[in-house]
Amino acid sequence: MSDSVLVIGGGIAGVQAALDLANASIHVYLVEKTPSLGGRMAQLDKTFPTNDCAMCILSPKLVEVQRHPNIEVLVNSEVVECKGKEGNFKVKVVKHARFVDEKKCTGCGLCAEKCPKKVASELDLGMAQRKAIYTPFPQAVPLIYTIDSDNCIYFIKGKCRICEKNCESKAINFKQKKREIKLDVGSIIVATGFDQFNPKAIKEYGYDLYENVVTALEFERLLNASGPTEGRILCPSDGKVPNSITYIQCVGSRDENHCPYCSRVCCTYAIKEAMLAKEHEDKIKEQNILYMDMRTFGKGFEEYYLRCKDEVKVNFLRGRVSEIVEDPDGKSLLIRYEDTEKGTYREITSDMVVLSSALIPSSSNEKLSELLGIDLDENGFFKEGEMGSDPVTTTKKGIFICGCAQGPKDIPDSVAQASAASAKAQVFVKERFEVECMADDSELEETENEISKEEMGDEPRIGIFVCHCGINIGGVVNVKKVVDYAKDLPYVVEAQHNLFTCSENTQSIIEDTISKRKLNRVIVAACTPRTHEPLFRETCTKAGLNPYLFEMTNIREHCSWVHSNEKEKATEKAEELLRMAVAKAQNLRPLSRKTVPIEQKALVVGGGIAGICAALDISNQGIPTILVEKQPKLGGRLNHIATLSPSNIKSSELLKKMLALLDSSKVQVHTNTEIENIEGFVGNFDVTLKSKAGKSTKKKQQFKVGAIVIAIGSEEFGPGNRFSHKQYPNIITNYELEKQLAQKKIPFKNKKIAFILCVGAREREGNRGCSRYCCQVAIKQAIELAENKNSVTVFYRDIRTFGKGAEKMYKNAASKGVDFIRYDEGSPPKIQKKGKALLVYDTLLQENISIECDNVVLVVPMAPPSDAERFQDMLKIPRGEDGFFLEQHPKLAPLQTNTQGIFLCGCAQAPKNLQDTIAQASGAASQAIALLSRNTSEVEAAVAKVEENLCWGCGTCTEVCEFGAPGLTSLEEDKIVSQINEALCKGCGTCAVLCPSGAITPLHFTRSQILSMIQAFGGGSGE
Amino acid sequence: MVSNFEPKILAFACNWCSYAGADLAGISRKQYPPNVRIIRVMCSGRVEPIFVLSAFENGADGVLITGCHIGDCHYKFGNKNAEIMVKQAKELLSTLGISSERLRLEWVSASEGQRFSEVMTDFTKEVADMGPNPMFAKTAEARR
Repeated sequence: MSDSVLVIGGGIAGVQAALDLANASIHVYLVEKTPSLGGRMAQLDKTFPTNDCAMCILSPKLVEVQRHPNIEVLVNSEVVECKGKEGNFKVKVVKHARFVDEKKCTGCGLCAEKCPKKVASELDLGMAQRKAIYTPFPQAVPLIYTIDSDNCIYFIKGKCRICEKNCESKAINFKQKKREIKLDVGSIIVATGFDQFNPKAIKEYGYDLYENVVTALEFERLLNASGPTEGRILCPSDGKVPNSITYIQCVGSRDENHCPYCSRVCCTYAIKEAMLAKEHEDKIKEQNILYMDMRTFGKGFEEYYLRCKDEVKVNFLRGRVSEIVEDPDGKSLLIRYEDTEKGTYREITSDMVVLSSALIPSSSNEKLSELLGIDLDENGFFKEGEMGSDPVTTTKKGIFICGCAQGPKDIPDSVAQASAASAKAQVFVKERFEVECMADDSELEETENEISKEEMGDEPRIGIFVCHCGINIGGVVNVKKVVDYAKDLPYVVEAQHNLFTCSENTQSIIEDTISKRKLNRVIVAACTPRTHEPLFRETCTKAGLNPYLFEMTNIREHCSWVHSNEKEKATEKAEELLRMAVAKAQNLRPLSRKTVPIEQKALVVGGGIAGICAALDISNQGIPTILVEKQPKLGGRLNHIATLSPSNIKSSELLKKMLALLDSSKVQVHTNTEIENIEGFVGNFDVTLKSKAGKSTKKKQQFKVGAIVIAIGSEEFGPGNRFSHKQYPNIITNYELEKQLAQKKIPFKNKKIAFILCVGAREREGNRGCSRYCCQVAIKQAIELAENKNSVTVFYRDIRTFGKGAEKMYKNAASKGVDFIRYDEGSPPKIQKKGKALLVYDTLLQENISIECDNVVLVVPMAPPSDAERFQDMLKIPRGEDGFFLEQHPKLAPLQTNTQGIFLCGCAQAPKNLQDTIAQASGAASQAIALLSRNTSEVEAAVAKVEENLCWGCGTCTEVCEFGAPGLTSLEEDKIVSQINEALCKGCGTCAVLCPSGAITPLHFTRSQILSMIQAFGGGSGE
Repeated sequence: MVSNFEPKILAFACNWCSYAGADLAGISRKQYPPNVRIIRVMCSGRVEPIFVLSAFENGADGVLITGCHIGDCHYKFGNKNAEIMVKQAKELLSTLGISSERLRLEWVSASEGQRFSEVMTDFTKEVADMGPNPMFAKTAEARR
């Protein structure tokens, strides 16, 4: 077996898969066909629903990949041949010539500055130009220039070579040839992403006729500060701010003539773009989103939608566009559409139209499917092994898919799948580590993090790096002035500015500067330390400088972005912030991170499908795994479900298959067992189980694990008295109906049945979110009832059949005679009793129609798990307003929690369907495997420290600490002192404030450090 | 007082909520007056009375302490301790002849960029109306 994995595609999915594998000590080849990693995410301005800057959260990940010792990045490369089978693939990769020596190029950019040839920029979709020698975007990873030989004057005419003359490092090599590289890999992950549907194909939209009709991706570039208009929203025809913008949804998507599926992301990105457009240009008076169904199904998306509607005042118009015509006298656009709410034709005019065009399969899919021998689905995305229950496997063993290669999806879903693919891919790689069981009394060990003499020196030698962040900072703050100011601050020996301090090449500049100028303190003045401090700390570490001798100050979010019209004052503020940072830096002390041993064992809480999948994946890596379920039977919700949709597979069959796998695995299963208590910290959680079985001899069990996966699912939402639920006997919930179907009972025959969707979901007061699963399940049930001679009507607000194959099922339901009637949030159907039958009034249609029915099915959302609060307290993992557990980051860390070593998956994180649950389960397993593949882990060094000779042993700290970090110990007779367990301390510093003897110091936020900053705030030097 | 007086304001922001809220204010370009300098601490519970006094001594005209909303503290109850500390510090300030209004405690969550910007605008205006910090004027005079 080989010891490597090949990942094809360097977008966010490929990057995440590579990182997960590499962190689990597996060697990875990451092949990307363009000259830089980053993929589509690098093209986005912001990400929904937090409006986080896409590049800001992506860039640190790219740099991490580039620097990871286990990852070999092959950009400008393509897979051309693949032979062999799982465990032993022989892959040929062609690395195209870039005509620049990768080892010599420093990314300085002088060549591009001097290059005379301008070419339409791919990043800006042709709306701006790049040079013939270029990087795809300024923060490209790796930051190496590439000559586009199709456009280079030298390659066309044989003359020019200006870049060569200007390159100081002699990196230009016109004779560079493409190279063939042979790789031996155990498994392959395909993460080739998507392409964008070209709306030219739909003539009625006039995309290629009218200047002011743009695609959503083009609009995204207009929003971007480093895009063609530097973030201004201007009509392409006249460069003026539009008065009105209309966003048209489902361009190509849900269209039998083009892409019959839902593209999943367009509704929410149109909302995002409308919100940002208004933020960028207050002059925009009117914005419309023209849509079929509003599919804001993700976590926090519904709230985002309401914010856009209520606060940003965007008009949401339900309709289908028939044509767009340009005003012959001007450039404004007349949009004719069918108002599908009222069934009438209407017209609106807009200065600009944004087409939310579909996500289509990557153009490389067909070739790749042939080359790798894996099948495509009917739409051209890669086909998964078993529809609905195996989202990341392909039709060939050892090859996996993730992200949009499998079907359209958003970033967190792509990231979860990427982790899942990584867990699966590890099975076909040579065993990498022996699981060693650690002794139970895990003492903290100190790392030998020797601090060199140069590092400490006699006095501080501070180096400062001020970031322009393109024009983000440089457009407001006079960066050069700030640098000049910084040069005169005490102990500053070096101050410089960089276009992007976070870029790959600046990291080497910082490293070089540390060694050349013998720096022992480093300050970066740029964006927020919350996202970028880890990157710069790592750079310092690489240069041999203790990471705690690094300080960061935020002159972007806290300065240039919020004082954009006060350039001088913003510059002054940046100077003062830097002065304060210099004051703190003088007082910084090196800290060493302790390492704690890791118990290489995992606990999975919850024996539903998520828990079973996670436990199997972890156990398959040879890691002892314990699965705990409080019910007598494994399987959770699957036990009460008849069939899975849209695959129509019997859930009992899936469960049987999973339980058989579990039986043949080494997973230790405890059913009928509660988690009584969990204490401890990453790598060292003490777990107490309590068996509920009465006669069990061993009622309690205690053991230690290193990682925990929380897969405790959700509860059925009780509809309460909504829609007269309790008043009439013939009203049931979808859960009750499904239970009957699972017992092979078809409860109704020859009846009139009404389904009401969103009962208790998407409410203004109370449960605001969408539960993601319900539309699909209700349609599945409706089809089954219709097939059994019932006449079925579904009352809905928006049909959200976004999953793979789900849209087709929706169409199928209509063809089986299921009627769909829309109702509005403000006027839900009313149920009245009339004889034996129920009347469902639809108040939305002009005529007050009533539909007589025998039974009503209320389709309810998922409620947070009943144990959620207990686990929240026990594990200190927060929950969101919706009651579900909160992930560490909604985009890039959907499966991690704020507590190291504890991971989330399935419905405990947010309501979701089976396919997404399984992807998350394997993804969480992958995260746990990465942690447990090592036998030690580092803990934070910025924790509280007790000065024992000052401590009175009063115990105030032990009372105030919520994490049990301080504990009283008797040192000798009469001397009781407090001692802090570094692995438990979270470094909040509250104990230090309350300590009556002043014996406690929160390291890295010490009293003297903060006081020096305050002094510098007042104009002092902080010395 | 002088209407065009530009006050100097020092703010402490906890890493998890308020600092992130300030970041969000930036991301969403919610403009506010450039009079505020932020010191990041891990928790609002880290702020000691001496930091407040030292800020006034060093010329701050107003001090703002920001943290997670009650119930949302990353460390559970650190913000409760901040609340107690601020109450005591206000009393202390009054005895020193500094209006306790110059010290303010606000809860700003990570999702409240707009609110962060509003708090900054409002506090800057309020402190501007109060005029320069009298303690600093005195110490500056004494130094002279």
